[in-house]
Amino acid sequence: MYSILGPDAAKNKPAEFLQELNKRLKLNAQL
Amino acid sequence: MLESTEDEQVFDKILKLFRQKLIEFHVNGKPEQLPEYAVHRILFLFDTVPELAMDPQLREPKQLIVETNANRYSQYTPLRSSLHQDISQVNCHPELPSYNIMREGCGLDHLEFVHKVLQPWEILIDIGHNSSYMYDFLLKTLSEFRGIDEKVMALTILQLAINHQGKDDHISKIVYNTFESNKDGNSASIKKEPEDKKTQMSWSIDNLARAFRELYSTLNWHKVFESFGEITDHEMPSQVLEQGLDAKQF
Repeated sequence: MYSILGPDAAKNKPAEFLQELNKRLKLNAQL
Repeated sequence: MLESTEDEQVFDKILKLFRQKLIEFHVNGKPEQLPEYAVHRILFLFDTVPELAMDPQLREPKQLIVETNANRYSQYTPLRSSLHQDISQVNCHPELPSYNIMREGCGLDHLEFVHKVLQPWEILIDIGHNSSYMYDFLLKTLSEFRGIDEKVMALTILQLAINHQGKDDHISKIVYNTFESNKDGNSASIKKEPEDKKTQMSWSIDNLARAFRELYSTLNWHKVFESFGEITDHEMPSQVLEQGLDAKQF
């Protein structure tokens, strides 16, 4: 088990990063 | 300016002024904490300008600067602090064999083995968001971590996610330049003077995705996503894990 996040983690838009990364990985996989 | 000016008269004037400031700093007796950037530059000049290095009157001021700011080495992530420490201690005089911190086997040896002491996200965060926009460099950096497993990849993705937006500063640039010089064996980068300003940045997700695909296609990506489940934290935004990567795409 890991604990990696501090109280300010959400402000850096992690979900946005994950969504975009997911999208790009998917596109790359189709190439 | 000291290390870049070619006009001898200008050089002498700047050297004299700089020397006087260092002596005043020492005589003052109440040393102030200098910005890390300033410490880096001063110690770099001591190592590259023979007139400073060999001046007996400047030994104590230099020692004072090192001692007063020693605790600053530990304020940053490992690459920053180790670089800073080595840059301040290695003798960079061009006439000496140990000059070239970019040359293999000299100076910052540990940069060659950075993958053994640091995690991939630590390097990326240290060299800054801007580095992710230079694909070849990103590839070169990540290629040192070819041996990572699924759990490390999961942590890397999450760490990059929670640091998706952040500020690159002059230290990021210094570390990037040093790292780039070391990797390319070209001293040009390290001589660049970074601007002393912070820039709001985010990762180049496009380049990261390409690099992950290119370097880590043999990873079991299902396991990567399973590893997300092993990472727990009360502060973890639930949406991060809920909206995490779609394992079906792999």
